[in-house]
Amino acid sequence: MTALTRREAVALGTAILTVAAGGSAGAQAPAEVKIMAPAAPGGGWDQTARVMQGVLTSERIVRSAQVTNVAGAGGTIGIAQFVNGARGDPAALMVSGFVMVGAILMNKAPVTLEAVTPIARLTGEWQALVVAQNSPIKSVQDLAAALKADVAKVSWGGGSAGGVDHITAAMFAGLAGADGSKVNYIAHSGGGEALAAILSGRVTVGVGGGSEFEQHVKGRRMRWIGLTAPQGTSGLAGPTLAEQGFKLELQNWRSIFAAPGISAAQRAGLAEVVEKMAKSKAWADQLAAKGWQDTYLAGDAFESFLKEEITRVSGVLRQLGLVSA
Amino acid sequence: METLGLLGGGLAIAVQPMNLLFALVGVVLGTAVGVLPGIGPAMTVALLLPITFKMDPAGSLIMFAGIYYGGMYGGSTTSILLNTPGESASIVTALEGNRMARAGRGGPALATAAIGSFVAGTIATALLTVFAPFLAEVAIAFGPEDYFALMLVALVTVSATFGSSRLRGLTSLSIGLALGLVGIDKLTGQARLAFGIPDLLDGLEVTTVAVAMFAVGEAMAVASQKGTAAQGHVEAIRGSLWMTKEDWKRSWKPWLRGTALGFPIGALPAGGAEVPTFLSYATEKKLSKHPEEFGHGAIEGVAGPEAANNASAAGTLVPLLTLGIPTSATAAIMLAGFQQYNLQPGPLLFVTSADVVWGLIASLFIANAMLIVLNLPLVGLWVRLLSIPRHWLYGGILVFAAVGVLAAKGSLVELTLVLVLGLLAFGMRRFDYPIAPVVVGMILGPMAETQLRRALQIAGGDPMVLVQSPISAGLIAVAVLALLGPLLWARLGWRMKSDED
Amino acid sequence: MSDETGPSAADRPVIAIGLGLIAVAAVVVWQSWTLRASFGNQTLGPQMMPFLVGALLLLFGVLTIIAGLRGAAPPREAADWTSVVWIAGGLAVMILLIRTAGLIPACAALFAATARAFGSRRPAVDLAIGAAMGLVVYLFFVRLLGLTLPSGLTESWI
Repeated sequence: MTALTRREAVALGTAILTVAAGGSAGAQAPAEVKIMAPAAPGGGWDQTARVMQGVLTSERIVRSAQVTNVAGAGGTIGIAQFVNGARGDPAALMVSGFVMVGAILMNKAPVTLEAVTPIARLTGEWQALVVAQNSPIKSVQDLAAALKADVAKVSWGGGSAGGVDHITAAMFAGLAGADGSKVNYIAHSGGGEALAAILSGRVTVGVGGGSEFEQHVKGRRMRWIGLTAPQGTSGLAGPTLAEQGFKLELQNWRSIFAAPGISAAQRAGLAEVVEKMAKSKAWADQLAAKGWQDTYLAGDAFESFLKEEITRVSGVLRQLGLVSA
Repeated sequence: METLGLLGGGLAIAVQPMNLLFALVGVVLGTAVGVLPGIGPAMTVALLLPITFKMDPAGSLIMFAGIYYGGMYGGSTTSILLNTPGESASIVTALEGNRMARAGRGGPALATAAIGSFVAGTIATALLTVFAPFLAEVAIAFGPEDYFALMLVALVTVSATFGSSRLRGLTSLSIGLALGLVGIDKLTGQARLAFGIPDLLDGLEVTTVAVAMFAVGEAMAVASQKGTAAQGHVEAIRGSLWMTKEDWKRSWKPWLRGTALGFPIGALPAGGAEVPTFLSYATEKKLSKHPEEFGHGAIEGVAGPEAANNASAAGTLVPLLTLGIPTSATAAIMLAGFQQYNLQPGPLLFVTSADVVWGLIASLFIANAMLIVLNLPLVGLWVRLLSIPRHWLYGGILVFAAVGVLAAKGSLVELTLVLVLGLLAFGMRRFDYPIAPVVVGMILGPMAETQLRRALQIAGGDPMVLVQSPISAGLIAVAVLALLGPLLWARLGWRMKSDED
Repeated sequence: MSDETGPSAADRPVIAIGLGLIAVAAVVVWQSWTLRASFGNQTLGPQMMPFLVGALLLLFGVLTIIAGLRGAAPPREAADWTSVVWIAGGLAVMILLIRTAGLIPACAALFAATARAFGSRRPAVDLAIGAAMGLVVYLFFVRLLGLTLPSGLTESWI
């Protein structure tokens, strides 16, 4: 324990020197950051925040990084508190993601992602459709045919209603020529419950993050129908839906935002800090350990991506009757 | 035989002096953090996991097991001594445990909880090593209709244990069911009874309701009856500090029955840790030779549920290790602990990383043993907490309760709920409405509802699905019998009595 | 019980409880009136359980009123209301103080108010003990473990 503290002390000293010497002209990079995870400790957003904290300090990109958790309602409580409490604070960051886009719409949250300052998309995970090993449905064509024949007879097992899994299911049904709003989607609260329903073949098809299913496909208990990655993505565990003729591209992304009301220079400084982190080897190592894909995207490209996602998600949720038109 | 060899190998690693030290640090840290009501074992591990990042896998897993069991132990200790159950699985422990503690029998209550946990944990771990793959297959075959039937059994049998008046007990249960409605409906994503307050969308936290109803409501009730000081009188020690021969005699069967309920239900992906504790409590009350002691500090009511709680925790390892399915907050955190070392639990784990699995199992065993060794001598010290002056004791309990609620969810809406529900609980106590059914209804109601609707949704709306599965048909029959049996008996008894008149 | 005491006068508080239960039932049903299954083929929608709970509360409310009219409630002791007000007030003050003065003063206030409810007459000592508890909680859980708790002015000085 003492050895650790000493090492940390040395690191701290070096970090101060680095920060004092570094920093490019124009951008005001903060020496310390406060990262809010709008979720309880342990979940995906919290883990993202804590991995960021670890890499930012161990790589000496900032002197100190602090994580706070504000849990509740798909992150909508966190974002409201962030916008009110951190306005104009150049050291404040908030983790967010695809799930928050839907939660804001469904909960009719007064504070939306337009109120915060986008910095970058950090990671993403491709969605996957799977069936139990002994399912009569063997291919994406079988599934599409079954949906077209009677969309209500195909039950889907996945996460929360209106969440990324539900949206994936509705979009796929639409591509298969069925009415997406009639999808018989069975929502489950934890990943475990949904997995059990899929493994036992109780639901016709399972939908979720690709990494959840990888072990089960390897263990020959599940079969890939397809992943929602773009055609030609390398390093995938299974086939894409796109290469099988169903152009469904969807990633469950996580991103980082800054407070509203900061100056352009302060924003550039935060962007610089985040970019340094995202390009570091320590970050790459951590992502590999967690099984997260690096889908870093910053600047204008991220902003337009965000706009498209919000439009797309609100369209599907309207169709499902979860958001009033 | 091979498994025994592997377990032996795991144990050999776990008893190295350095690893014993890690286990010690984990157990102490876990207990310290776990005493705050809002922080259960899962959150304790989530908070302390970063500390283990820089250590080698074996040491880290061992410390992790220590933190986990320490967190659990800390939770039961505060349930028993301070009546502040922080998580759903230790609510039942508070019912009888705190009564015992108030009657000067805190020592035996803590001891039976600790030894029961140890016994249950050990047996469940042994069962895990032998039956895990087989049990996992059975567990995933359990469908929503079967869960619904299981929840029904739990609701009916537990309802039979409520207090003196059936009307008041069922009214309390209905209030609990109403509280359970608050929040987003799981199956359709629509808000229910949230009154436009974002903090209510996730539903009421069990911690908030339990702490308000038990700790705050009781503090108000005790404070208000100053005239009859004897009612609120707390005696730290009366009689033996240790379990007497009689206590042992009354504890060992509940330990075993609790294990028998906890392990299989814990292994079910949606079984949960609360259901076995409720069922164990109902069973012990039914089987006890002293049913009149229930509600006033019956040792069986601590021994059984605590064993069930621990056995179910070991049960959640079944789907986690064999199928890679995390079925509880704790299992999800364990998964994160594994992933820290690039280990992916699942069908391949036993093959690819057998040494780690056995190392973990061995360290759970060591952590459990260490807790017993450390804590039994401390029981006397813990119990003396109750001898501090009453006004400071309750002041401390309320501060702990409030901070614990904030730890589970750091919003002032939660504290406002504590105030409102505390006043409700005070009113209920005054008019002799039992408190426990509120919490039971709040926990079981949403589980039963979700599973019923899920079953019907998969079956395309056909209600026959509920009786087509042999498991659900059997369980529903049990529930109906438990519900109508006493009524029939009562009617029969009443007739006979009136005949005599 | 009523058999032994003979027919007694109506128990007004119990009747009020019954009316309260009926009011809660009304709120539950009214709030759930517009809920409908939004997608897919859900036989039992999100309104099923609220309606069931509403019906139960209504039933028990009516039964409670009947019991109250019969005067069958168990005897109650006279309550000392000031103690309850002290505890409830302590919680209310805590809610007001946490984000302004801070967690530590809020803990001190709750501790002292509760101690007062239990008859303590030394507010200074109680406040000091409460503040010490708050400080320990803050240092251990917030500073050491990184748990997020709401805080205010006092914590920003530490």
